[in-house]
Amino acid sequence: MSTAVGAHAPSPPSWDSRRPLSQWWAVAGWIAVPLLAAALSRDRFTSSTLAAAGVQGLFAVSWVLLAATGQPSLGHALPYGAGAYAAAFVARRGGLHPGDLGGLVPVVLTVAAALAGASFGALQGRLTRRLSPVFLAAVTLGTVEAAHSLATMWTAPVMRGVAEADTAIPVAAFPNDDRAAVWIAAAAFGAGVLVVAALVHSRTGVALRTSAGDEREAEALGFDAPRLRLAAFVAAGTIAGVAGALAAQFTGRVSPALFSWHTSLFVPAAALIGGPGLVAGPAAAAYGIGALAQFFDIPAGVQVIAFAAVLAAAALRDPQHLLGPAFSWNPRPARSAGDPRHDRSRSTRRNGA
Amino acid sequence: MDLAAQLVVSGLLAGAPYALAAWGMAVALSTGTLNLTLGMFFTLGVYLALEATARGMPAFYAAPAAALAALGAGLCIERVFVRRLRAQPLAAAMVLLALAVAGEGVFRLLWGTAPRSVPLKLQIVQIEHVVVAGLELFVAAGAALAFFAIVALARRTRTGLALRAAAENAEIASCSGLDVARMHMWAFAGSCAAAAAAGALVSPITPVSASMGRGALLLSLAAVTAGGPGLSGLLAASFALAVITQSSANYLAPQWGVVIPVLVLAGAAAWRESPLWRRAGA
Amino acid sequence: MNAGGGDAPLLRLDGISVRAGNAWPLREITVEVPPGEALGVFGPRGSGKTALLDVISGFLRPERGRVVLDGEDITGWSVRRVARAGVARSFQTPPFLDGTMIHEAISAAAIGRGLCARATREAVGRALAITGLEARVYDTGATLGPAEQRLLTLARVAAAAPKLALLDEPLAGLAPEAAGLVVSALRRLDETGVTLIVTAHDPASLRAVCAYAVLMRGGRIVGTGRPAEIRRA
Repeated sequence: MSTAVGAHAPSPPSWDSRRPLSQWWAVAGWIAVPLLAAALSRDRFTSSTLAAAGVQGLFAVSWVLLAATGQPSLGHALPYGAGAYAAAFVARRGGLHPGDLGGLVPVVLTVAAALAGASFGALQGRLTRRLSPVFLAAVTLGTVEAAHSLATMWTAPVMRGVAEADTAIPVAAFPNDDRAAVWIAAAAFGAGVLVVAALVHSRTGVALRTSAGDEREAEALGFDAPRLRLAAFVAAGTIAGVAGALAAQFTGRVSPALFSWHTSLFVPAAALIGGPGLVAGPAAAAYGIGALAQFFDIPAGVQVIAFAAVLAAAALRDPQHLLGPAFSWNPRPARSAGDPRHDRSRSTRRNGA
Repeated sequence: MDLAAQLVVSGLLAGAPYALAAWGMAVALSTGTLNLTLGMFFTLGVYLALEATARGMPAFYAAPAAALAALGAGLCIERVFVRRLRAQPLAAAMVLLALAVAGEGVFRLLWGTAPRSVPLKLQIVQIEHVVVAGLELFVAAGAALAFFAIVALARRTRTGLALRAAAENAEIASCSGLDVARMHMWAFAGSCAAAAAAGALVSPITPVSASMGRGALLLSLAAVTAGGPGLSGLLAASFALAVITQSSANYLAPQWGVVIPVLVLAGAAAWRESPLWRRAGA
Repeated sequence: MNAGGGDAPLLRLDGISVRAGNAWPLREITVEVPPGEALGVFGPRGSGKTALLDVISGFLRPERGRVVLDGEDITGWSVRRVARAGVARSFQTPPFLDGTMIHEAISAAAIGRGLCARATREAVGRALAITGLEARVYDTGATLGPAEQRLLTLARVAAAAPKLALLDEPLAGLAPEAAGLVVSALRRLDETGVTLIVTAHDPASLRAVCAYAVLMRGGRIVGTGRPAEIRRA
């Protein structure tokens, strides 16, 4: 590698790229909330509510990877549902029950779900990697609709008292103990937030975020932008698949409702509520929304309208930053009054200019 | 062979209204707007036809009535939401999607979730070994009439010429004195009207539900990406899709009626290069 | 055309012609640029300046001719391969970096070249010093003025530690004071030894940076010499 610049370059100033400690405390705080809630929950209803909420948080944080690469997928329910169905398929075909394989059934199902999520994420990414953000959103939404139709074709023994009973697929429920479920969900939530935050703010994350911008610019910098965007779909799909497997195992069933607009619009809505351009915020918002929706048993039809309203409100309020700014870690506040996004008239004062 | 002919004829006749809806999608897309409310207006057309025929209005008049209502609604939506977001197509699409979702909710509230149908009794017609329901002929005739009107408007009137100019190159059209914003507004409203008319026309031959517009939306998008945005390619793609979708729904499972348009949409958008859907610089 | 000096050229274009449909954005371009020199490319809009940079950086494939970088024929190479070979490029339109912190935006160039974490930090530090953006290192792109955006673009080029830097109209649209800041940064970049090719409309604007210049019109080189000698485009 040529070091043409190094030979005669001015002495580089000292500057610190380390992330402010306060940001790590913020992430730790958000991770601690589900863990604290798990410790405090006593009854089955609260435990199952918080377990569902933790899974929703994990699902939402996976979408952040797509937002960071400028890919507004409205079809993230596909890898999520695929993960759940993969877990169901493996469980049913293998005749697996909790306790089999030395207690490793949940791990096997989750790995299968992760692979399924990654595969379907890759499919979405491959189909959309050269599409504009608008068409990416439309095509991914279409893939969920197609998945819903296909899922209704896979029937299984009827489960009593379940909506869409003729298409719900039972899954070996794990764990039997809701207290264990809430701890597992909280741990998965925390791990997901940490992994995604570390990834987004790493050198790989800089590469991913660069792929969100102009493709020519990214190429000229040496990045394979389409490949990076595809990688984001695979990574996001993997985590979403894991979330789907957990959801399936906690509820003991999968159904075509997993592939719904409600599920798909939930993640971008949570991201917008939790803070575009953040990692822990969307996860926390999803956790909160998931808990509230479960606790108050809000119908899916009402939820989907609320999620759509959030998308519209965000679009009208700040259309240019719908996916958030490019996920920079704690930028310094703008010095000038007024909206810094429109303040392009400042000139710099430099020493020795 | 008779079976194949039957399928083709039925598909072509049933596909005519969907070709109308696809034209609506292409028109909006040519102005830079992905009209995600197209499915909602399609469903609105169906429900308006339902109400109109329930009140004794001849079924044939339901389509223009639905189109007029949708035209007005489309004008309002464009003026209030789409125009201010024209420079941000993703934001515009999100707002339109939200309206579509809200619309579905309103339909469920007003008309419930029980399956319904529009009553229209017409004779069966047999041509050689091909049996054609009078309903299908009625639907296709209505769509053909609408198309002729649209083509006449686009090619033989000053307004149509202005609309096409604004769609081809807004900047140059603006420099030559055209009110491009107004043209875009009418293009969007026309897109909504076409979808509503298509829904009203198709209402007698399809079960009615609040989310039926999603299929029309996907089929329209698939037709535009596979054959559009030119009219002849769009028509060919719409009819071909209708034939394939209808056949697979009849012989495989009804669910393929949704899956196939999505496969075509995704495949065509990934394979065909067009500035309408390609990422800048890709 | 030889841009001066007796050294083996770092960059040589041999009879480059580019075709786009029935048009020829570039016709029979032949030029040599010695290492460490700064070449100005001037001409009116549509004269082929950007097309020239596109051919060198791999965005355009020539119909005829060769591009030789440091003795290696890079004609037809992909953009990323050319970038890895030591060519850095800036574009007329600054990148949209509203929410990205300055140091992250600059580090992207070093990361794209495969530099390790430590080398990236050093490269960013050097780039900040060259462009004078040290005080803005934790600010986001949204807070930058027009001149600072151009400086950020230059910083990205500098951080890539290239052999050859292609700068597409870095002064376009800037007020005189702002342009002066960018010119100063260009001079500091030039002093580091990197070879520059800079495009502009007005030869006078880059007189302080470019020792030699070519004038382009209609896709051809119609004049060569020092910027002061080149007829105003």
